[in-house]
Amino acid sequence: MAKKLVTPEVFRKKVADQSDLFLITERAQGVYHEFLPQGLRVIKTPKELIFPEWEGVYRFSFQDRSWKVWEIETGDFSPRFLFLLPCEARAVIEVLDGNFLQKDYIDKNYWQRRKNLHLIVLGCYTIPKTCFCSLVGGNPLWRDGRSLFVLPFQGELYVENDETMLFGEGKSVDAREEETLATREEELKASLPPPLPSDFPQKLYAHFDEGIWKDLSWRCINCGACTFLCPTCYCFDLSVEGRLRGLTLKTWDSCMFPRFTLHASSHNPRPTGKERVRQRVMHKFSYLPLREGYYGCVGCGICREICPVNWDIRETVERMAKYLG
Amino acid sequence: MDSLSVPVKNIYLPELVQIQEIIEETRDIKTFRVQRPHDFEYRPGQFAEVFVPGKGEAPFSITSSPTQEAFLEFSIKRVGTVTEALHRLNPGETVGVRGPYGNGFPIDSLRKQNLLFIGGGIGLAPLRSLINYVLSAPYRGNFGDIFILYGARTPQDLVFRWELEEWKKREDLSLLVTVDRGDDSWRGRVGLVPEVLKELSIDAKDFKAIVCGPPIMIKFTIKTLLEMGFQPGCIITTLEMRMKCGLGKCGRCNIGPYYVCKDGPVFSYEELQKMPEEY
Repeated sequence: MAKKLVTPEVFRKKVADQSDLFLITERAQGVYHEFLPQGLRVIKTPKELIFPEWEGVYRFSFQDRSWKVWEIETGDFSPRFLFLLPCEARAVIEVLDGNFLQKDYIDKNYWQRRKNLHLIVLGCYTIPKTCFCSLVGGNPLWRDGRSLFVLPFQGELYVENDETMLFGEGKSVDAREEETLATREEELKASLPPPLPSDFPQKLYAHFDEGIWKDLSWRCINCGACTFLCPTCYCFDLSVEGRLRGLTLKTWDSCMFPRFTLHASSHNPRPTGKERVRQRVMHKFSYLPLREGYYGCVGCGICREICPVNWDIRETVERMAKYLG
Repeated sequence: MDSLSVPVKNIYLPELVQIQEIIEETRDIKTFRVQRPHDFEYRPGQFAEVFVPGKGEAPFSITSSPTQEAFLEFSIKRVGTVTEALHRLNPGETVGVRGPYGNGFPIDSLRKQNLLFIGGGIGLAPLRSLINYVLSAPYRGNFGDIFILYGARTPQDLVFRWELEEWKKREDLSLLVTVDRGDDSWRGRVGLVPEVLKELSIDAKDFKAIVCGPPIMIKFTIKTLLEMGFQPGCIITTLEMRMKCGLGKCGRCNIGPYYVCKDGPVFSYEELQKMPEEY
């Protein structure tokens, strides 16, 4: 794996020269604005590129007295590089890929958008108060061996795995620099709160019926903003648009909405905010870990930032962890 | 990404098939017989997503037995938008089908067993697939005694009446039909399913029970079965949840960490006991 140092000027210029290749998330831009050229396309959350807010999955029409259905041919998307924070990258690699690319049923729309999207993980060097990635097994320098990685280091940018020469040749990292980096990484990790206990998902599940859920959920107004901006939330709806010709749409949906689980018979297994908040917390911190072995939360804290009533998932989880002992 | 094989199939795209026949079962239930889609191999207890072009899509259990090779049948009660649209369709019209989805009944563990089927209302629909499967000539010998207890609110609410008559004629099964409220012409049993069940002389040791019906009926029936001495692992039932994708991706039909669409809809009572009561 190539490890090198690139000057901020070269980095900025290379990115500016190839700006049509690059996209960046709003959060990553906030952290890296000084190293980046103006005018990169900014997106709210990585999921909107690979799992857009709405997208047609097939078309139907009534012609010559008969119905037809056919796939929407999107063709291949051109290769793109997305700058994003480690937590956001984890959301894509672990959670979204985990759901949509599961071997038994591969979501073709997702796959088509995902296969040419390359992630460039920008290591965090400022840690906002709303973050808690270490709680869910991540860290501000988390990266996947298959992605590029960039981190400001001694006035330059440390670049890992740039086989495609996106940011220029740079200077190879020597042994001393490598050691300094490794030490810093260790120190940073040690300074962070420890991860949730490994039996947290089981314990949480065992406390499904506790009265505390009512208390934890009362402030939430079920607006669903958190689920839409959450980089891991992947629940979706399939609905039909059009009568004699139209398409079946896949749209973002939210477990915060009463109709999410409403049966045609009018029975609703999650009738109040209590059940819906519990579902959101349980899905991320119990069901997904129990089922797939990873948390459905990457600790980015965006839900806390945008919540109109300051409902805090971290506070909830920490409170539950304390409550469960 | 490259390690993944290229998906050739759009997993949400239905195959369009023609409605061959529509049977009016009750005032709000119709059975739709449709042409069987290509490569559609299913097990009793599985379900499919039925798409009404321009209206929507909903999951329905397949009520026909897989031994019927030419068609699929769905018995559908008119309760919402999609079912309303389905009820307006006529033979010869088109619907989309994708599937099959779900686990289906655990046929292997039912082999050599005596089977007690208990259905309530339209809950007979998923059971019927298995009943006709075990009754079919190639498989009947693999199963022991068969007892079917079926109940509905009134005689007018009984589904598959045409088939109940045929089952009644067979000597290799016992059928008991009951209604909650009889009418002038009803000569059969009157009484709620769990109550009628209590009076049956069935030795719990020798039977596996397969139950399907409205939630309240399932609840009381399971209670009665346990009182009769059935082990939780020997009681099998099917659950319903609102579904969209049907294949474990859209994230709404879970009960605890289990997806009803993928891990279910068939669960034993032993499994249900481990799940939170959120259904």
